[in-house]
Amino acid sequence: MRVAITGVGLLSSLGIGAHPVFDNMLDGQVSASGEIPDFDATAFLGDKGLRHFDRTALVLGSAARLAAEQSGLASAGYAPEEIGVVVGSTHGSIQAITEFDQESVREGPNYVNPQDFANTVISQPASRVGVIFNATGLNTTIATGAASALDAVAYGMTMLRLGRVSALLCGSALGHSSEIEQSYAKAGRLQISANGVGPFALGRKGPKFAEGGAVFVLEDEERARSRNAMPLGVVSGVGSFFGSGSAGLVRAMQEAMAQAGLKSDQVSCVVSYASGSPEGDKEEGEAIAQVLPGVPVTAPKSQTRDCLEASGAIHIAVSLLSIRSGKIPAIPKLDNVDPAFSKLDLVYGKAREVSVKHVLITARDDSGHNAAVIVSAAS
Amino acid sequence: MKNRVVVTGIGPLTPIGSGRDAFWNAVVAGTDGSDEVQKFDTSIYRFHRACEVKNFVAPGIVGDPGPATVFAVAATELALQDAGLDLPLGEVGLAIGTTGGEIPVLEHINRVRFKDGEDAVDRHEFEKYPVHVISTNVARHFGFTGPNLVVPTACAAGNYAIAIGRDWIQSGRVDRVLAGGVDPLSRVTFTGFGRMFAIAPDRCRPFDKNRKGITPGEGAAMLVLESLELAKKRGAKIYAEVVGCGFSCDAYHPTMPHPDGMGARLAMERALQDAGLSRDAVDYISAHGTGTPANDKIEANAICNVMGEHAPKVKVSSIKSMIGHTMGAASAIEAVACALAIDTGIIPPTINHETPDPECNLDIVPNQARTTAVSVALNNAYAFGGNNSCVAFAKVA
Repeated sequence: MRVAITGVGLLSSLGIGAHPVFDNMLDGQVSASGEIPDFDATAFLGDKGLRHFDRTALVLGSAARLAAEQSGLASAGYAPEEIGVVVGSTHGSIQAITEFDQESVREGPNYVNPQDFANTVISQPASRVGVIFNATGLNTTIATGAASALDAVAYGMTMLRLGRVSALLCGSALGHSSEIEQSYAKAGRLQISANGVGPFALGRKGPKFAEGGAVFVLEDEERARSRNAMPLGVVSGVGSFFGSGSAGLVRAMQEAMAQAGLKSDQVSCVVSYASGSPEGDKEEGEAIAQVLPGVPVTAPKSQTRDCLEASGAIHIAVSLLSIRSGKIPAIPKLDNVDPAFSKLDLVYGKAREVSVKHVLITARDDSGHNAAVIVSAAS
Repeated sequence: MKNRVVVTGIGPLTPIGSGRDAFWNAVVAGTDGSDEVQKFDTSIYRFHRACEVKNFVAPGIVGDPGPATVFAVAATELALQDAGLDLPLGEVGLAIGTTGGEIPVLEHINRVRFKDGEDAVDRHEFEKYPVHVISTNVARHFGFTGPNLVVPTACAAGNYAIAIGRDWIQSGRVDRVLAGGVDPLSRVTFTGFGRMFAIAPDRCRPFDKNRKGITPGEGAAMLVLESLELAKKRGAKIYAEVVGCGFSCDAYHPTMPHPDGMGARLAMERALQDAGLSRDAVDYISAHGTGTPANDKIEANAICNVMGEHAPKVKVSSIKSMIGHTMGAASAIEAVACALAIDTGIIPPTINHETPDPECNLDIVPNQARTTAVSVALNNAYAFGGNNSCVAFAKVA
């Protein structure tokens, strides 16, 4: 079975909707605040029943709505039990979780709102999407840190191929969270005030955080075509490997390429996970140089910032648009490339126009979780 | 041809006993693990009882990780010992389910903040919290490479992890997986269930007419899953085969189950279908059986619906009456109970039973364990968000 993507919903600090975000990327824009501009979830989810949704669930649900609408999921002829939800998430509704606990510490345990308790389980954003779309087939959340979104796609592919469901809303989101921003800044993993130096640049000090998310409709390509849905691309390979250093990512990339049946010169570009992390980018660069020498590399976090576990989903969305437009967005303002990456064909300054058939998306987490997904042109 | 997947090692870490024999002896004896909460002061709560793991000697782990990691490492050690496996094992899949993960770490941070201010919080403390650190820490501790993930699907998470492990082995990706679930007792969970008035004031009585709620619990269980071929080749003891998995989602409400038990039915039906078994083959169902008025009634109804005429012959019990609701660990510990029921021919009792509920018209094996051959056992687990799961285990002939 070839798994097609027939809908994409993307929200990021660069805008709402895959096309506007991609256009802003081509335009060289860089996230200013880290927050989704003019985000009103009621525009996507209606104004009823959202009171106890936390920010992550609102972003995820809105992305799912955009994806479902583009795909025509509601009229696709799938029974509710044929539709599932798979979400990659490591922090879940982190802001709601910590606020629930803080309230109980501050006010006492009998004063918390029991309606907010549901948000404390990491799977709650996925569950809320299940309710919105009446997807009763299955509902899974996968957590592998920064690799979560790609591993969720890999899990979703398995579910489709095993026939456990026929269509999936699959993706990841992370809403703005002061807990994340402050706690990781304190630990030196995120920068609050960045020095303007991003992925692959000399003197980079670490990523800045932003909210965002992307959700896809995944289904059997044949079935999608038979209902006249337009595949935006196919997921042709996934790979995942646990292991430290660049070797783990190398293995994940090789696995994805083997599954897709691709040699290195057939890959059109790499959408890299590089975030501006001093060590992380280095390992990432080593892995790409080893597996895909000479292949153009871009790093969307230079523009969207780092959305942690949701980044992989955003990168898949960017890849679909690259395939469609034949344009690889550039890393803006990369004046001073770290010589460690001299072997990479980094796309910077100006978008590259080239025929894009196969995009390899990487993700790695300092924990040792590595993943790769290959998205290919549908025909 | 898909690889067959068998359970060759079990590592339960529970409030009533840890390790195969201690756990199973306590289960068969019908031990109630509930007691006054030790881990935190409950004087400002309306409820005061929980099932905690006692006399636990924490294994030494590099980096002073959170309590979920500590439990998961201990349970993994027990499972490896039970399976007779020595390190290093190299490429082993690792799938761990959890509800709140290392949430006690976040609770600690908030306590320090409230008492001594933000600056008093250790700068690296939060890094111990994100849920995927559990499988990271376990893999590093034992040197496992291979597929590795946490599946945080709340209180059905153990079943999800076992199903993922089975998928990996069936597809030939690895031939050995450690799969299970973990959750240490959490103040957030205690607070939340307390505010929902879903905690039993005294004892947990699943399927009893006067049931009043759960008893919060904690624990972990890891299972060694291997391909049948590998298990036979190394002469491993085989407890049971994982023959089927079924999932569904109510898509109904953040915390309440669907009143008709639609999803619970679908999960059981799918597990039987996946296993290629008819309902008549089922001897035992380890129920989700939380002891809340809503869950038990709906689950009993769903079981009666799926089992039809066969329902009166099926033994159904909830070990949550003994170990409490151990959240993400629950279905992993209950999977261990299923494997041992098949292996020993003893069915765990539902303890604390006093008054039958006509709305739960099942043989719930009240108060006393029962000796009877078990060929097929189903493990039900449900979760917030209406997340339903069922894993089918069978005796290997």
